Formats: sequence, C-alpha cells, structure tokens
Amino acid sequence: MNTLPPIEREEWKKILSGKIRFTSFAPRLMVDRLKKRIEKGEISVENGIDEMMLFFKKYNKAYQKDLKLIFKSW
Amino acid sequence: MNKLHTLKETIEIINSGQFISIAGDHTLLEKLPKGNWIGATTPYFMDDKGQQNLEKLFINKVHHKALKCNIVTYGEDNLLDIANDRFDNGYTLLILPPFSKVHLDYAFKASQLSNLYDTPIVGWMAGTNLDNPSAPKIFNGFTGECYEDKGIAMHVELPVTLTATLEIINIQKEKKNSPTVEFLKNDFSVTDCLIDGNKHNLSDYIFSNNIDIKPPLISDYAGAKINVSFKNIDNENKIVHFYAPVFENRKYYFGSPIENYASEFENNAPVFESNPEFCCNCILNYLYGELENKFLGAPGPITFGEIGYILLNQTLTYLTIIEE
Repeated sequence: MNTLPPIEREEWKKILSGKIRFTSFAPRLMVDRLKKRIEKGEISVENGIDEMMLFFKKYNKAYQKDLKLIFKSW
Repeated sequence: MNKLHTLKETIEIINSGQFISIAGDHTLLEKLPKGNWIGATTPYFMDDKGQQNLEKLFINKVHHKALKCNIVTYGEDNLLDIANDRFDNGYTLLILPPFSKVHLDYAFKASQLSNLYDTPIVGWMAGTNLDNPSAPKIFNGFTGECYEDKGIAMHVELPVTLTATLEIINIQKEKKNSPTVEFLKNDFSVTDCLIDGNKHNLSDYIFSNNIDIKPPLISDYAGAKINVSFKNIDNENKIVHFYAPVFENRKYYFGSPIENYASEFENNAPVFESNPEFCCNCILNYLYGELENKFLGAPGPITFGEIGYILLNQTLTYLTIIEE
C-alpha cells in the first residue's frame, strides 16, 4: 500500500537541511525551492515539510522508491 | 513508436486524428495539413542513429490511453498560465522559440510558479540547420499558424492508473577545485561576478585561467545538477553570454573538461526498458559528443535547449509513463 511516512519523522527535516537527498529529479527541484524559501524567511521548516508531504501525497506512486530509500519503513 | 517518418507517412498519421508532436525542417513542417499536432524546427534527430535529416519528420505520439489533449499557444500575455492550464494528472509538452520574449520569460519566471512541480512540463527549444541557419519556428497544427515569437504546448490528461515522471541525464561534472562562482543578478549575459567571493570580470577570469567553455557552469539543486551552457564571449565588451540565465543566490562551478565526449556518453548512456513517452537531447551534446551515426538514449529530436519543469542546457531529458 502506498502511504506517507509520518510528519514527525526526523528525516523530513534532514531533507530540508540538505543532509539527505532524494534521487528523483522533481523532488530534488521541489526541495531546492523549499530550501531557498526557508533561507529567505518566506516559509518555516514546518511549512516546507507540509508542502513536501502534499507533493508526495499526490505523487505517492511515482516516488515511493525515493521515500523508501530515505525512510526505509514506516 | 516515436521515430522519423516521411512527409507522406506524417500526413497520413495527422489525417488519422492522432495527437502528436512533430520536429523537422521548416520546409517540411510548412507542408503539413491541419490536425491534432504541434511542432517546431530542428533538422537533428536521434532515431536508430544520430543524424541530420532534411527529408523526414520526427513524430512523438501521445500515449494511447491519454484521455484528453489540449493544444494552447503561449505568448507573453498568457505564458505563466501554463501551470494552471495543465490537467491534474498527465503532463505538458512545451516548445519555445529560442531567445524570444517567451523563452526569456519562461527561463526567469517558471521556477517561481507555485504549482510548477505538480505535473511534469517537458519540452524543448526550437532550432535551426546550423549549415544554413534560419529563424526557429513553432507550429500550431490545429490552427495552421506558425510563430517565431510564441510557444506551443500540448496538455495531456492521463487516467488515474497512469503517472508521468520526468528525469534527466547529465554527464557533466564539476571541475575538481573549481572556484565558487556567484552572480549579482539573474541574467543571460554577465560582466562581473564573484569568484570565491571576490569580484572579477568573468570574461577576463576565463581567459586568464584558460578555462574550457565547452563544459557548462553547474549548480546543485538539492542533488540535481543543472547546467548553464556558455554561448559565446564578447571579447571587446568583456561580456559572457549563456544559453540559460544564471541566478543570484546560487553557487555555480566550472564544468570539468571531457576528454572524449563520445565515450563518456556511451559509458553514461541510459538504457530504457521501453522507449520513453518523450525524449530529447541537446545539440551541444550531439556536436561535442559526436553523436552523428551513433545511438544514445532514446529516439527524439536534438534540441537547442531543453525543458524539464525549468529551462535546461546540455541535458538529455525524458518523460516516462508509469502504469499501476
């Protein structure tokens, strides 16, 4: 079943800090933009995680591999 | 199958009513009847081998399970509506005329569209025959109109059982010990920049350090390597021109020279289990990589800039459809 790792998982923050990276193109571009917006103070880290979760909710099927590589299981 | 077709075959496919995109020399595109197609000029292709072909047209057919296709012409006034014009599930194929206002607008502004990454936008910059250059042209086959200053898109809706994903292959690597290059504003042309934090004229820096400008500048987008290719250097005015804009607040690195482009490409060539829905590769890769008479990647047009959500350079860009 395609699901999303819980919002509390530390990995979401590590993705936005650049410590962990996705492997697919679109998630990388999306994270890059979120990081820039956080750096500029336009959004908070929590807002960034919310946006990532919305993206993966929509593209759960396409990017399960990315999520599994980072979160392993949930 | 996406491949080169004769003019007669192309007309037959158009008359069958299929939704397609077409790449070819303008003399052939101008002969096509109205129908469900969009197109643009380039006479370079990756078919069974890389080639320049003035006799045939390259056709990309839309997935047979697509639910709906909308063809939209984009000028300065509506270009940024493109993200909202997409279907919720599907993809958009966009073709732009290089160095037109719509090209520049897309290059600078697409990345700011709030919903850009919701649905793939794949595409390319129209080109020309380098042996006999003429203005790159865009065709709206549905209306029969031809443009040099407008873009064309085909928005494709897919059923929920199908998902489109966009990926790139970039063989360029940052040069070891490259200084960090930063820019003072977003622009296609640069005089001064910051090299390791110190102000330099970029043109002077390139000449005094004997830097090869065949490789692009490379910036890291959270793991995605994005190229900005050098177009030329205006020695007299000390201006460096690029094929895509550089952006302030980004760090760039000089690309590492590639001794043998052709073998590097062969070693890094993607192997597709089945041909992607769409694939295009950059004319600079074709030329520097000596891809004529060689097969690499997947069939598709050789283009004068690529679109993978944002404007790309020197990149093989492809779209695949995943079926549940």
